[in-house]
Amino acid sequence: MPLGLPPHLATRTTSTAVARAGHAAAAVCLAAVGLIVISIQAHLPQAIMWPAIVVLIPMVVLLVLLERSPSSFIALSYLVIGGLCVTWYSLIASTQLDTPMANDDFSIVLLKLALILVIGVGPSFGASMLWSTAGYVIGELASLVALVWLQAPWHFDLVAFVTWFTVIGLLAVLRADRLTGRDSQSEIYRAARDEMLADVRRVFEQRAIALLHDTVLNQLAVITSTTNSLSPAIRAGISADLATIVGQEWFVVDPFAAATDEPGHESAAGGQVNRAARLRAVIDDAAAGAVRVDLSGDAAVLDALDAESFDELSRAIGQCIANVRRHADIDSADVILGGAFREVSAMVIDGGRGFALDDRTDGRLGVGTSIVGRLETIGGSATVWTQPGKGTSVLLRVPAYDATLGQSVRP
Amino acid sequence: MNLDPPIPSSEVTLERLDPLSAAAARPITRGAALLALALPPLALVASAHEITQPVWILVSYAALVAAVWLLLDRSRASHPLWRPASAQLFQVLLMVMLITSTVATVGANDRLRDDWAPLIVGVMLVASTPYRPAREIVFWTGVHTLLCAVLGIVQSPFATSELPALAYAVTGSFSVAVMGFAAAAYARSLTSSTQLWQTRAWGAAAAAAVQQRSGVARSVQQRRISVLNREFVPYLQRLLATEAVSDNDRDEARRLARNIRALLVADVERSWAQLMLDDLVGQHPQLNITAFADDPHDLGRHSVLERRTLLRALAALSVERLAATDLELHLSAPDGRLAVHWSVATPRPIRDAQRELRSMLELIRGFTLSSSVREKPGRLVIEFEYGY
Repeated sequence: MPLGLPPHLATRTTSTAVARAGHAAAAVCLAAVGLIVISIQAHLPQAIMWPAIVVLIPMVVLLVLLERSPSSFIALSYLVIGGLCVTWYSLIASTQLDTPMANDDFSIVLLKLALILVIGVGPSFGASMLWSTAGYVIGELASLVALVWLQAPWHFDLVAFVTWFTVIGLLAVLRADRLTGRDSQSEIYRAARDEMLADVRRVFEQRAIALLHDTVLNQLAVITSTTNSLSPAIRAGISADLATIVGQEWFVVDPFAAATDEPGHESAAGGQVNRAARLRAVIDDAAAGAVRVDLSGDAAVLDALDAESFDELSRAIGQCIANVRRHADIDSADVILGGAFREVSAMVIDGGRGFALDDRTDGRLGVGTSIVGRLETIGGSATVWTQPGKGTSVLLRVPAYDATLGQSVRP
Repeated sequence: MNLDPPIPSSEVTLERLDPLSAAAARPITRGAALLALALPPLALVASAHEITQPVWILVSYAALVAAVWLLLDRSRASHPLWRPASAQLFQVLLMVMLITSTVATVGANDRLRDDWAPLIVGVMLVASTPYRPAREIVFWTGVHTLLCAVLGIVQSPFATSELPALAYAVTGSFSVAVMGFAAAAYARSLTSSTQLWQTRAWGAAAAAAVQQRSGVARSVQQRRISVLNREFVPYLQRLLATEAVSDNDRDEARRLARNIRALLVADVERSWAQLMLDDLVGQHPQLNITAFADDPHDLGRHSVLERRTLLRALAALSVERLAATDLELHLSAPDGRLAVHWSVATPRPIRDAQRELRSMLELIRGFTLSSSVREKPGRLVIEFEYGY
């Protein structure tokens, strides 16, 4: 759905389009005169009609200039020189064809139409009306001069008048319509901005839900299942999550930051170590000493992520490991990093008890929010393969940062 | 940004890009249609002696009436966008009119420049400008010009002036070429300017949204923290200060988990449509509005940004202009296309409400496959279907 033109641009854009239409029509008029002259010259070789063609050249040149770089000077030159051309053409045609001159002769009318169709150079329809009127008056005066010169009678040129009248009428209608009826356009712009902001809010709401699921609900579940006092590890976990919730920024808000822009990053190699170490820490936190996690693959691919994507991918991997610890009934898991064209992937594999995908009872939370939803907020995706008794594999895929675009390659 | 795929250049019309411009041009379309119907009878009165085959003039006028009917029908505000098939039929009818009008005057047409048929074809091409692509107008202008030129040459032996055949070709086709190419230039200029503006406008809106990400992130965090600070945070702090976990502590943990989970699930499951309406109602706390969205498959969320924008704008206008008291939004996809049923209860007379939404309804017409507006007691019902 396009946005349509805003009121402040509608008038300018339409008047420019009307001027272009006028110039195209004027070009057709001049071309038609040229063809007529050529056909007559071919038909009557004894007549010297080529000067009538030469007359058209300055008009064509000025029309092209007017179309390419419209200005009052060029428009005025077009009208003045065009007027002289009308007079000159009328004299040549009349003398060479040895016919009495008529100011409503077809080819002369075409030249006068080319003057009326100058239309204008500015954004104002009122000014366009004045320019077209000037073109009409100059065209009529120019043919009148030729008539006086040749002492021929004057006729009312109905075609030129009707054309002028039609052009003025069209401009008047467009002018009147532009003044009204665009009130919903501003509403569309506001709605577009609001909708984009709502998109941004939705992303952070989704991440917030994932974070609360991983911390708040997780700790409450631990407390519920604790039979006596809290162990030091659980206490440390609760303290850490409490600190995260009330004492830290929840989100990395740096969507366009390249890996090399990260604080503390000093070199590409250093960055790899830094990110791999940070991922390792997230994994160890999630494993809580209960699961041995083997991190393998190409850790350098992590540098292909922007800061925000790396943060969310780490948290999603951490949540996968937390799920292994809580549900898989196994003490080991593997995380394999990989990369493909404009993509970073991580596979989390465990040989635990697996589960039936349809049996999940946590509504749309859990895997849906903490892993799938989280990755969707950065344009990524997660695929889960599992069956009861056959372990679980989760493939996490995230678009890489594209330095040429200055952002991640998100769909 | 998740936008509709760009409209192919061969299908770009002013009506699709800027429906309000097309709506503004509708009086010109009607005027052109009237002129087209009135001109032949007037021309016949002035040059009745040129008619040698009266039957063909009737056929010619019948073709013209059919073409004018197509033009008026397809440009009606309540009609979906003009489809290519009937647009080609429109042009073929004009060709039939050109040929039959020539046959009707064969052997007696002494001056080609006052023929009404080429003039009317030119007028019709101008009238169709808002609804058809510039490329198509150029093509058909070329075809009609060529046809008129051929007809001019065919008639040249019967003309009174002894001019070369090429001159008659020019005379016969001039009015079609001048108006047709002018119409195409107008359409091309307007559509390219509009497309350029729209690319920039979406880009600017996206940039503004990116700039506000930090603020939005903070506000989301703050809102969640304020909920957690009520019970959860004090509970954990109290628990960390004690040695053992009692049954009451575990019960409270269960209760808190249940409440927080319910809150999160409700957030996750709330559809885009309901979220949008709630957001809008929340912006007008002084008004007593009820809003209901029926979108079980969350089709709104999966719609492209442009479509969601139109729905949001319609909702905002309904609240702000119609003083709506009740809003209902139903989204479905019966044929794989997003179908919208929008119902607004307003204290205003429905006719006034329609007038208030006039330009929005024009936009909806331009942006959708089909649309309708109807009245139920106290309610304005707008239905439309996306897709082309």
